[in-house]
Formats: sequence, structure tokens, C-alpha cells
Amino acid sequence: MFHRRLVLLGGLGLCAFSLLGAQLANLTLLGHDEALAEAEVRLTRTSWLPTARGSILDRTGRVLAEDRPGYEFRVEYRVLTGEWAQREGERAARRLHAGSWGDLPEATREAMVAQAVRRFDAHVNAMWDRVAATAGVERAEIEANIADVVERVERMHRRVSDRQFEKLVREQRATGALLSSEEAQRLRALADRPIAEQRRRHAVLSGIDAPRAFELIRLGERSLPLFGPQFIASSGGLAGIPADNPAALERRTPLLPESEVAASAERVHPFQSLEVTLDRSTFPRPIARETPITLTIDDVAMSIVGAVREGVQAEDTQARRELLEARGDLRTRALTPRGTDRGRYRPGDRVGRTGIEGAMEGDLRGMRGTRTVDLRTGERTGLDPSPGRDVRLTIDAALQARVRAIMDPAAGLTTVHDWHDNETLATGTHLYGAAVVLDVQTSEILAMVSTPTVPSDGDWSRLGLVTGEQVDLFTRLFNPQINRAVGKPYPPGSIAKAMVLAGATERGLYTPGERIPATGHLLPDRPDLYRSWIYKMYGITHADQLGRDPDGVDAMMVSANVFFYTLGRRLGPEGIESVYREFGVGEAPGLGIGPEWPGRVGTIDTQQTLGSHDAILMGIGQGPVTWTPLHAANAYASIARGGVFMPPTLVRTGRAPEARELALGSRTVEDLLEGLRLAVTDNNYGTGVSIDFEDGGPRGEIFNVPGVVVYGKTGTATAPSVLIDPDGDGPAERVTALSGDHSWFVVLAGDEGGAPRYAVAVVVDYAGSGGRVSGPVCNQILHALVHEGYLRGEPGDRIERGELTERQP
Amino acid sequence: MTLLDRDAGLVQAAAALVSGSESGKTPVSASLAPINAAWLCVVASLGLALLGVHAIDVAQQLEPAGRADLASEAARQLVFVIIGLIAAVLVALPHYKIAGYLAWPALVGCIGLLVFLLVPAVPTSIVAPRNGARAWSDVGPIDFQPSEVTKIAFVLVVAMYLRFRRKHRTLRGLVVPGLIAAVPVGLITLQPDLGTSSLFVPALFAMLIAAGAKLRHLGLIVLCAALAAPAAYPLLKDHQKERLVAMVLQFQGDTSTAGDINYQSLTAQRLIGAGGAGGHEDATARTLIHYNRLPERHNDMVFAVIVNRFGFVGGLVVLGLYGLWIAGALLTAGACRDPLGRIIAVGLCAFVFAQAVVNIGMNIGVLPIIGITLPFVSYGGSSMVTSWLMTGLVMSVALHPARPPYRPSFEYDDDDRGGDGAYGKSAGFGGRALTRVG
Repeated sequence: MFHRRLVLLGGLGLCAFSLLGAQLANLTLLGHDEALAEAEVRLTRTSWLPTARGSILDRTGRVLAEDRPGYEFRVEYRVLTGEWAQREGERAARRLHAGSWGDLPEATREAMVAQAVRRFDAHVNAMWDRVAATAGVERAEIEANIADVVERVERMHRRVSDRQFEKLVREQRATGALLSSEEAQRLRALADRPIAEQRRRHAVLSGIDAPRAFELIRLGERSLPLFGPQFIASSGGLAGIPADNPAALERRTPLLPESEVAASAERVHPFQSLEVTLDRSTFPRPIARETPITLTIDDVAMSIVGAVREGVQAEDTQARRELLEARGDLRTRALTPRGTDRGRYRPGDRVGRTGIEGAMEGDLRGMRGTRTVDLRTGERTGLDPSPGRDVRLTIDAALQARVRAIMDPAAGLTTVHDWHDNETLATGTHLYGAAVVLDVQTSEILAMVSTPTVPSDGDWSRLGLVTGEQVDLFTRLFNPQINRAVGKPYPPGSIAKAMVLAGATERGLYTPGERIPATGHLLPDRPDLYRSWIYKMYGITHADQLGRDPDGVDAMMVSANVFFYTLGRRLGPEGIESVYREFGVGEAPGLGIGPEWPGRVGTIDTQQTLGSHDAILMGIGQGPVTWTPLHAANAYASIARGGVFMPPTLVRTGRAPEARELALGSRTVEDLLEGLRLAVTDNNYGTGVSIDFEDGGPRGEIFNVPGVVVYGKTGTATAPSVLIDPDGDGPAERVTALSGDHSWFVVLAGDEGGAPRYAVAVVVDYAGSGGRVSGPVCNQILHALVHEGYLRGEPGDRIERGELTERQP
Repeated sequence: MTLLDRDAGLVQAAAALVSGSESGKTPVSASLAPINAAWLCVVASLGLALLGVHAIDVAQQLEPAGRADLASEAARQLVFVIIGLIAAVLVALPHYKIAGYLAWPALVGCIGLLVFLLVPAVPTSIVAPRNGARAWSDVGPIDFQPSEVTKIAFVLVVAMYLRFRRKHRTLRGLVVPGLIAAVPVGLITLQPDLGTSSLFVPALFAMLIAAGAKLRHLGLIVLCAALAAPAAYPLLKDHQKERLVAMVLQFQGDTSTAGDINYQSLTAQRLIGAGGAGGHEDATARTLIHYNRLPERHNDMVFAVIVNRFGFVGGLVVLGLYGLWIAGALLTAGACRDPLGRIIAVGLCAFVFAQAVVNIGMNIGVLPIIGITLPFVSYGGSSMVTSWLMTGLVMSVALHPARPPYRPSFEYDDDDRGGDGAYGKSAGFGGRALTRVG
């Protein structure tokens, strides 16, 4: 039996060994390739090199946002105090004479150490020279910084050490024991232990730009033998005794020991705050002054540029992954040979949050460099970091600032005046709105202003708001966080008449030259409905005024409501909806800088279908239709382009936007432009020519830019009232805070004898008459275009002509 | 003449020691069996030890081969091998019966040492915890690990206990052997060195099986232990739980732990896999092992080093050498007619086998990482000398065959049926044990 049991035990052993053998075969034979590849990866070590975020520039190359200062040069504290040189010197002396160190007399050893320490001191000294030369700064600057760091850390150490000592003494006393001087010394030594600040690297130079930083990184990878042949030749060895350890002679010390180049960039906005001087002599007569006014404009284009935040969130990583999947070009640039994304987010990275910073994150984000060291050979390979791509906006920062100044109530154009005939707001009330300047040829947005804005530094007192309640009420009334130029729905009002005329002609529902009877109201038996503005105000018709029934040109010039009611009726609900859609209503521009109102035809209640009543009202831009100033400017630009619709752009990509032909006949375009020109130039009939200031003086011209041809249309759009609940305790007690009409003016402008080059749309909320409020604003924007060289000037003059001074924050 | 007499007395005394005969009448040469299966163990031990020295050198030195000097650990290991060999000879020559007589005092001494290690008051200059375990005592130039020697003392004590008994064929009779095992297992577990303590159970079982304990009793105990195991989980230390969790994660194919709890295991498997069928050249293997930073690569994980260097073939050679050792020990047990010798051979065999299986198992990722050395191969004096002492003891059993009349041992006519059974037939190996009694 014993032997059977032995066989049993042997069998069990054999089974166990077979299992082990099988797993061994599995690992070595089946898993070999994968395991070998993984094991070989560990023969190299890869480190990341910092990079920089791309800049955001305006169309002329002005920097709106950039990373600055870019990099820091950090050095271990021990190097700054000389402690490092001391210790390295001691070590080197011992190492060089490894064979005989113990036999050397004490004095010789001390002399050797002192000599070696001097060598390291000189090396550190040379490091500061190298760094200063590479970074392009004075040596004195580095030294001052080092002194600062040492002073600060020493002070900190003293404070910590004193506090620690006191604590130890207190504890000692608590035990009842007396404190001998010996014991006190021991406690002092205990308290004097180095603090963390003394064990880390400190920035001795910051604000280094990317090329110099990369140069420093490369310098930091080099090393030299401090006790090499050169040293031997000059000194004959330490204390004249040749070294007995050849390996120690070859030992290399980095050129920049115990140091690193680290990214420390902060995002700066050089044009964030600008001073703009406005010439008030061309203002409407009651507010015209011989002296110019200088305004400080804060947060210029900041709502467009947007902001970055520090700290990565899960969705950033997800977004990055999706971006790489979607964009092959980016993927090619971003992936290392081993397939790691050089631009992937790491903790503490900055991420574009809003505006262009957020929308163009993929381009702006830089790619880190890599350094792969083969641990066997020490060979270094890798990729240099590539800074993120710059994003060039279509915005002109100077023009943007100028338009902001024009829209600033302090300039006087956007405060209520008596001659505004504002029925709802008191004189002196600040008015807010939006303005868009569009390049007709390219559909690029040159300026896009919305007032008021949220102060980026949170200082509301600039807007005269002191208490929290004031800010709260202001925010509820005026929604400063909304970019009105693209984000707020506005009824188009009369400015849409150009679109309706173009659409009706295009569909054959109106023949150019056809005169439509100008009755005071559309329906013969309903004098209270669908009235003409001239009938409503003066009891006459446009036929009485003109001496003829208006054709398309006349209708544009005098803004004949009945004419456009008629076209609305002819187009019908579906027809008029398609006209608005053709001109971009219902399409969000997709600028990516925040909430956008796509424009809408139809009521909010989708169950309710449009009827002929709606079609008639939409003929004059009222009824269930809304759009934004950007829609308006682009619709007019489309007419100026001869009927080509192009989506507006905010970023210059070098790619032409996709255009859409609207099939407007040349006669249609000519008639429209003629009507628009007459509307702002015909002294007798034009609705947007002059303003009666009711001061006994002559009427004042709205447009007074010499050498510039203006085509334009006023609009006074009935707007929904803003109801607020002042005490915030429920909807029952809501009161009307704002009501009345929005004031529109849209113009096309070009040099005399040339085609229209710029489209400008201005809307001022609840300001009443389009001609009286938005007209002068439009006029000043045309002056600004001249001032910045866009009109009546050579394009090359633009930057030089800007009288902008950068204000240091 | 007196001198001669005295000389004669010395020779006789030595002869008595070697032959195990008190009378000293039989000449030494006549009682020894120089041609025996234990030589297989010696050959295997030598092969494994030399392979180990090379593997330690590979593990410790990045410098390419061709340098004459061995790494300092490899050189020391070579010294341990020589010490081990001498120790083996010293143990092999005297009759193992003498070792048996010394078993109880030895075990008591070992237990004393184990208790000493655990006393918190013992200064760390003598007992310095390594990897968190108080398992070594620093005495003289060589650190000493009492738990290693305890293994041998344990085998001897159990063998002494079982040799003339048959009580272990009852369930209650298993209590005493269990208690003998429980004391060292408990103390070593407290160090904590779960690895070493876990070897005692298979060794005890192997000895009981060989001694004819009923398989169903042993099976019942295994079943109860398996059922009770989950209850013991909360008693484990955190790092031990972590290793079990790591093991489970590994089986699930979760590689996210490669940087932490499974680092050692996955690195070892990676290096083993990288070895492939035939391994790598010396310099390549050294580079791979160095930069993959395998922890304990000269010690517990030396098997990974061997397979990386010599591939699947090298791994099979190691398994083969252990097979040879085990075969040598089992054949020696089979050839032995003395119950003490039989159980000693089986017990030592079980220790070597269990230790090799657990160590290789954790290297190739089928068992959790528990600190346990690969006998004869891993770096370390205590482990090396203990392993050689085992070889020496097996050799002693083989060298000193029992003399007739044979007293049959553990020869029950039933394997596992009811009743005590009677001494019965024994189909011995080589026809030498064909004794029929009663």
C-alpha cells in the first residue's frame, strides 16, 4: 500500500507540473511577441516637453489673446545657495581619488575639496551666463531673481523654524523638565530641518518665449566633463595630484544642473482695454461738439475671444477624443509614432471654455514635444513641441472698439433725447442694442458689438451699478450675458421690406416697374387695419405724397406699407416664409461663440399654422418672424452681392464660405439698391435722410460721410414688452419695464463710384424711431470705417491710421 | 596499544554513528548502500544551484557577459552552495535515526527562535523586519531565517511520531499530527510569512498519505477547510487581501493594476513571455530584466529570470530538475523499508515540491505573490543550506538501508476501506520488499 500511495503522490506531482508547464508554454510560446514588445518598450523612457497655446489675432494681426509669459526656468534651491556645488565638489574630489583618498593628508584633502567646489561654483556661474544669453536677458536680472528667491525662502524657513522651536520648547516645558543649553541646542537643530521650499525648484526666470525656451531645453540636455582633459591640462589635477579614477574624470555634469524649463503661461489680452477718441462734430446737431470725446472701452471683443479655464474635466478628454476621430489633419500632427496624443489633456492644463477659445480649442491647443531616451545607449530621439495654431479672426479690434464707443451711452448717441420722440422712455435713459459690420465680398464680420456686456472682471460699478439688487435688476432687464448681435430674437420691421420685394420679384409675383395703388390701408373697408404709416400719422397716402402710385423703388424709398402688405398677401404664408428662409432666417450662423438665435418664421406654438393675416404682416417685417442684426446685415450683403447668400464668418480660415445663389435678376438688384439709395438720400421722400430736431433749426442730415455712397433702410419694429416682477414674489404683480419699438437701421456703404463694400446693421432696443436713433449710430459706424481705412482709403493704411493706444492693465 | 585501542574505539564509534547500529559490530562498508536513487537528488540539486548562480548574476548585473567577475550576490550564492554541499555531506553520513532522535529538541528550539522573532522587545539590530515580516535574525555574517530549519525539524518530528503508530488511520488520530503542524504554522503566519507557513500543510498531508491515513478523512478535512476559507478572509492582513484581489483581477484580464498591486506579477509574466521558446542572449536578457525593473528578481522571481534567459526550454529544464529531485526522493522512500526513513523522504520531497510549485506558480501568474523562495535557485543562505540539508537527509535515508528482519511499515491491505486492516502484502520496488507477515 505504501508504494501505491507513493505512486499517488508522484502522480499528483506530475499533474501539478503539467499544469505549470502548460501555463509556461502559454506565456512563452503563445504570448511571446506581445510580451517581448511590451518588455522592449521599457528599454526607453519618454518624457514630455511643454508647449504653448496658439494666439487669437484680429484680422490685421493684432493679438487679442496669447500665452505670455511662456516658460519658466526653474532651478533646485540647493544650486541657488551654493550647497549643491559644495556637496558635488566634495563628492568629486573623493571620487577622483577613490584609490588613495584615505591615505591623503587631511590638509591635501581639504585643498582638493576646495578646488573641486570652486570648479562647480564656476560651472554654476557659467550656467547663469548661458541662461542669460539664451533667454536674451541681462545676467543682473537673473541674479536679482535668485536673490529674491533665496531671501524669500530663508525668511520662510526662519519663520517655520522659530515656530517649530517654540513648540518643541513648550512641549519640553510641559514635561516639567528644565531646559539645559545642550537640550536647547538639540531642539534648535531639530527645528532647523529644511522646509519643502528648500527642496524644490524655483523659477529664476519667467516669461521666456517658446523659441528661447526650446533652446534652453536643448541646452539642458547637454553635459560636459568638469574634470576632463581641459581641466587636467590647466591645473594638473586637484591640488596638483593626478586623479587615480579614470571613470571619475569622464563623469559628465549637465550644462544646466538640477534645472528644468516649465510651462507657466498665462493668457493675456493686450487689446482688452482701449481708449477710443470720437470726433463729435459729425454727431446729430443737438449733441454735436467741437471737442472730441475719449472713452475707455473695456473687454473689447472679449465676448468673442472668450476665456480659458485651468483644470481638465472629463468631457474635455471626451471632446478631444472625438475631435481627433473627426479631423485627420489634426490626428496626423498630434499622434506620436507610438500612437499617443501629444495634445491630450493632463491635470492642470488650460482648456478653452467660451468664445473662440472654446470653439477653436482643437486648433489653439499646442502639442507637447517628446524626448525618448534609449536606456541602453543614452540616445535621445523625439519630437519638438509644436505650439498651437494661431486663430485669426475676421474682427478688426480697432473698429470693434470704435463701434463699442459709438454704442456707449456715454458718447451720447444711445441715450434718449427729446428729439427721439421716445414715447416710453424718459430723456437721458441709457439705450442698449447691437451692431454688426460685415464685409460684403467675403461675408466676414468686421465688428460685432452688443451692449451692455458682463464686465469680465466682475466690476459692475463701471455701469453705475453698486448694489447686488441693482445688478440683479439690470441683468433681468437687459440680459447682458446675451450677445444681441447673434443671440436675441428681434422682429425685423421695415428693414425686411427689401427682402420681401426681392422675394416677390424672384417668384414672379411682382414685375419690376409695376405700380401698386397706394391706399391708406390695405383693406378698403377696414381703415383701422393694415395701415400705411403715413396714413396713420398724417391721414394721407403715399400716392398723395408722391403724386403717383409707388413702384418697387418708390416703395423702398418711402417705406410704403400697403405696397408690402400687398406683396405679403401675394406671396402667401408659405411664400413669405420661403423668402425669409432664403435670406438666412432659421439658420444659426454657427460662429461657435455662444448661444445663437437661428431666426424663426412662425409662432412659438407649432400647432398654429400661418394664415394670410400673418403673411400680410410679415410683408412689412412684423408678425411671427424674428431674426438678429447679423441676419439683417447678411441679408443686405446678399443683395449687394447681386443675390448671393454666404454664411457669415468670424474666423479667417482661408476657405471660401459656401455660397448660395438667390436667382435675383439684375433689374431686381438695381431697383432694390436704387430704392435703398433714395431712402437715405432723397430729401423729399426718403425715410432715412434727415431728422427734425424740433429745435427750430433745419432738419439734420443723418448721413454726413463725404465720399461714401450709402444705401439704407430704417426700421421701427413693434417689440414685445419686457415685464418684470420687481419684488420677485410671483408673476401676479409683474409690471411693464420696457415697451415700445426697436429702432433698426441697415445700410450698405461703398466708396463713391464703387459698389457697396460693407453692410452695417444696427438695432437699439426700445429706442423708437429707426431713423432718429439707429441712423446716427449707423452714420458714426461709417465714419469709423473711414477712420480705420475701410472706406475711402487704401487697405494698407488701416493699422497706421488707427489712433489706438494700448492701455496697460 | 592503548592509542590503537583508542583509535579503534573512535573508528567504531564513527562506524556506529554512520550505521546507526549501537553495537558497532557491522562494518561501515557493509551497511552502506552507495548506489541508490538519492544521487538523482544530488544531481538535481547541483544543476539547480548552478543554474541559480548564473540567473542571479544575470539578474543583478547589467554589464554584458564576458566580465569575469560574478555579481556579488552570485558570488555569495556560490559560497552558499559550497556550504550547503558540506552541510549535506555532514547530514548524509550519520544515520538518519540520529537526526530523528534530535527532532523533538530541534523543533522545540526552532519554536523558541520563532517566538523570539515575534517578541517586539527584541532590538531591530537582531531582528530587522524585511518586507514587513519579522522572519530573519541577523546573527554573524549570515542572516538566519529560523522558519527554514523549522521545516526539517517538522518533517523529522512527524516522521518520528508516525513511524510506529496507526492511530492516524482514524479521524481522531489526525489531531496530534495536526497540532504538531499548527504550532510552527501559527508562529510563522504571525511573522507574517504566509508563504512559508502554507508549505507545512501539503507536507503534512503528503506524509499522512504515505503513512496510510485514510484518504476520505483527509478529503473531509480539505472540504471543511475549503468551506471555512471565506470566513478566514477578514483575518488576513491588508497586503494579503490585496494580493488575492490582484490575483482575481489578473484572472479577469484586468491589466489596470500593472502599475501597482499586480506590478510584480505582470512584470514577471512579461519577462517570461519575452523569453519565448529559446530565450535571449546573455546581454539582451540582462538588459530586458534590468530595465523592466522586476522586483525580487534575484530572489523570489528568479524563475522569471531563467525563463527570460533560456526561454521555454530553460523553464522545462528547471521543472525537469525538480522532477528528478522528487523522483529521487520518492524512489528512496520506496526503496526504504524503515518507516522513519520513508516518512522523512516523503516529507522532505513534499516540501521541495510544494515550494517549487508555489514559487513557479506565482512567477507564471497562476498563484498570488507570496514571499517564497525557489529551492536551490533563489538567492539566500538559509534557503540554500536548508535545501541542501534536505538533499543530505534523503541521501542519508538512501545510504542506510534497514537491515533484516524487516518490520513492515504502513502496509495496509486496503487503501481506504473501513476497518483497520492487517499488515499485508507489499509490492515493493525492485522486488525487495516482498515480505508477508501474518
